[in-house]
Amino acid sequence: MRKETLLSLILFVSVWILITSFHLINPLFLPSPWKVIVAFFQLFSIGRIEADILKTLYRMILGFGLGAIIGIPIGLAMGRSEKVYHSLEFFVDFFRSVPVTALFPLFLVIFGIGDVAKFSIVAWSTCLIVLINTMYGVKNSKKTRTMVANTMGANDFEVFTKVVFFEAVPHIVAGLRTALSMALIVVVVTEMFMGTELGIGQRIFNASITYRIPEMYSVIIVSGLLGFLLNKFFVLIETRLVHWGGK
Amino acid sequence: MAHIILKNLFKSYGDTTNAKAERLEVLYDINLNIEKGEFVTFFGPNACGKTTLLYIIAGFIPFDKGEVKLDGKPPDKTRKGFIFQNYSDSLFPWSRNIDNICFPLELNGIPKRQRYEIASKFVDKLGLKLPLNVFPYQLSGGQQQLLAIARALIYDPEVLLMDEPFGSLDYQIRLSMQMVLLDIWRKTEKTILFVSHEIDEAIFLADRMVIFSDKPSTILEILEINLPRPRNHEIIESQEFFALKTKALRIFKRAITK
Repeated sequence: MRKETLLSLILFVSVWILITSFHLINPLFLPSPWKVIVAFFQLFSIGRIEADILKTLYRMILGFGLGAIIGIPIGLAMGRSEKVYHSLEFFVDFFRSVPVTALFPLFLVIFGIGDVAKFSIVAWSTCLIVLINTMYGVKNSKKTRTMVANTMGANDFEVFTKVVFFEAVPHIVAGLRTALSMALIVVVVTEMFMGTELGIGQRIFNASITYRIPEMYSVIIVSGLLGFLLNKFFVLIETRLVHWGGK
Repeated sequence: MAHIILKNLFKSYGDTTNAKAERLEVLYDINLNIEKGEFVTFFGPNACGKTTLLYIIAGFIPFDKGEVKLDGKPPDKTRKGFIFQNYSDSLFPWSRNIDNICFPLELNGIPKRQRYEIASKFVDKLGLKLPLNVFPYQLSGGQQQLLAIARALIYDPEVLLMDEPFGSLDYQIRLSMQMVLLDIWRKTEKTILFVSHEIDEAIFLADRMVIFSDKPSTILEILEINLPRPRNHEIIESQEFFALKTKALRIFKRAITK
């Protein structure tokens, strides 16, 4: 960790301590760091937060994977073929303009209140993000590389599988990274408003309506850490897999 | 019959669906015969259509009128190597250098072990010192362009088309690349068409130097470069070189003040 990072962290916590010790903000809304830390450890010791984390991760990864599996091929096809592009462009543009939260009732009606509705919504938003990135990755592939392959006698299929696809890979992976953050947001929101027994979103929501504020803060921190670690993990894989990105 | 024949070649750009739209005349009545194994350089004002001509010979773009034949065949039916100025946009950064060189062999369905063997022998034959197990972006600019040249030549094309291949390299590297290219040319005996914006380069490399006018581009003059081979850069200081350069410059001035 860099010195600056550590210093800013210390400063942040110090301001927090100052605010709470002088009661500058109602302690009901902003408990002291100590209370939050205690609540944080209680989540793991007696709060059984692991089950919630696992459930959230399960929904998220299932939805994310499903969205990617659907989004990548459609994006490739749209980037590749003008016909496919013009057939689907309007729908893609329209549905990505619809806030995903506005679709909750629709998904509830179709899939009920269980897990299916939750990971379907995650899949939906993942799919759109990945699809668009994939499509632009294909569309922005370098003409020169295609020309090179053509002079060497590559047919259209070979140009696509051996050149254009690889050019799209950095874009696809960047789309997946954006979608991963979005997936966590969406899954937490579904857990707050679509009713469930387990899940981080449900824990935050329940803590807030029952005024267990330190617990609420600590679950928020858990969700933040989760997103942070997922992103770090993804970047680690990305730099290994897409070693040529930006070069 | 000549190896490459360009006859009454015309090319314009514009909206083909709209007959009334004004078209931009790029090439105007180009006639040129090139013999097998010749080194021909194209020289002319910026954006005059030299690259367009090279693209037509490569079969990348169609032409309006005239005839283009490589060994009696239309351009899209022959094997060509094409070298772009921008080597980093033409190499495949996801593949190791060896796989870049082997790409044409891979397209021909040659198994991996065999193509690696062919490639390393070929690189040795050309006398190139290229690390084959790293990625293109780990090489210097000059090395990357050599990699592209090796890739273009490995499947034995009939002609090597080079569009300002050394244009983005610094001067010192450029000179050494010219020497390496002449050496490769001597070893492979390929026909080379080379677009250059640099007059010394265009004379130094060539058997014949084709000087183009500004758009619509015509061939103003074809200079025979009768300098002895093998050449090195000392020749640039010779009387003969100087005389050729003066002559080329006079024609070139005519091209831009027309």
